Amino acid sequence: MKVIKRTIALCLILISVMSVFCVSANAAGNIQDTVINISAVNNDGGTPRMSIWRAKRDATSVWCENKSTSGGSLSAWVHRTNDTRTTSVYTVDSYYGTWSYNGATRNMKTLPKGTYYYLPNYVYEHNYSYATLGYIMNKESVAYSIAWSPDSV
Amino acid sequence: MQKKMLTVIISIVCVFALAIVIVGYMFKEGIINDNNLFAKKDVSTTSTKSETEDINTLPSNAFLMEGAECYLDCGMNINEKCPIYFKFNSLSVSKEMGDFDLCDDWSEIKDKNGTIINEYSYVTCNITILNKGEVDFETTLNNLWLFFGTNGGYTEARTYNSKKEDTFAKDYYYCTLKPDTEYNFNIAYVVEDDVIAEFKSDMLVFISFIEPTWDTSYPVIEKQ
Repeated sequence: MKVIKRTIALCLILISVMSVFCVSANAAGNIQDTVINISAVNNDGGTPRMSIWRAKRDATSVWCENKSTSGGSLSAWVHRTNDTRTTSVYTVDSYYGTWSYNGATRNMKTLPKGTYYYLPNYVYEHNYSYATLGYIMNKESVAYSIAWSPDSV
Repeated sequence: MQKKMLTVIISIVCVFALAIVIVGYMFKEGIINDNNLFAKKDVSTTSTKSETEDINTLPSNAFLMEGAECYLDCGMNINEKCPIYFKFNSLSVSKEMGDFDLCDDWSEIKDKNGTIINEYSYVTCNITILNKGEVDFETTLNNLWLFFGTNGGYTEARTYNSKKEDTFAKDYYYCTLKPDTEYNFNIAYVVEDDVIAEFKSDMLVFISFIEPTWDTSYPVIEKQ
């Protein structure tokens, strides 16, 4: 009986010690921002656009900020893929429905200038490796500055 | 009898927990790992020379081959031109840390010195940037993408020589380019060794400080 108790105690100690080496302190998401700068000349507004694909590392929300101080509001949603070569618009994340000429068919988020938002999505849960921001600039001929990251924690 | 049952149950739980810990350790050390595959596609390219004299014809984005230089127009407002000079000085491949910050592990595995110990390597691009406009230009340096051919796969920056205290901060890549100030950056990417071997002479830096979206109509700038 004593031997069994000692064995159990040793196992618990061993588990505690080994667990320190098994947990990675660097299991961080891809949270660092990319800034999308749109010049006023190139802003024809109203047209759905997609940014460039970035790695989706975890199941957290996509983060987006409309940094413009003089521009207009922004409508935003999320796209997903496993192939960075694709430029297809039919890659809208299922939380946002499907693509349309007015953007995604549901749950698009409108960000007034100077605001940020966490965009829910199922990119990681549905086993896609890359995400990008879909967006519409709601005001034409003004400069926009949009910051976003695929993960948020 | 009850004591014996309890002992058996506790023993089973301990063994199960130990098994989980061992599997986790194997994942961490790369004995079991997943693969991160980048898409590859070969497409023929057309190259052009960048015109630095006529600011009105400058593109906003471009692909640079190693050794190439160009001006891009990063003006944000109507009638505001902001020519920014870029030079892709050199590209190097190594498994060891160079002059850039340590980044967290994704699919690559590193030792305590930051040396990659599995089938990935650092690809480091040294780039000079000079804002020849009259206003500050704020951007993020992860708008410098490493492309494998112009229409193939690409990968995003993983780190650079920021010397910032917090290299995991959300604003890590932010950079304000001031007029007439020269900047020199080592942008480091982590790439599969197989991809490096296939695209060794065809890796390009795609500069997209204005509306990052890859487009094969952007010019490919060759070394003069």
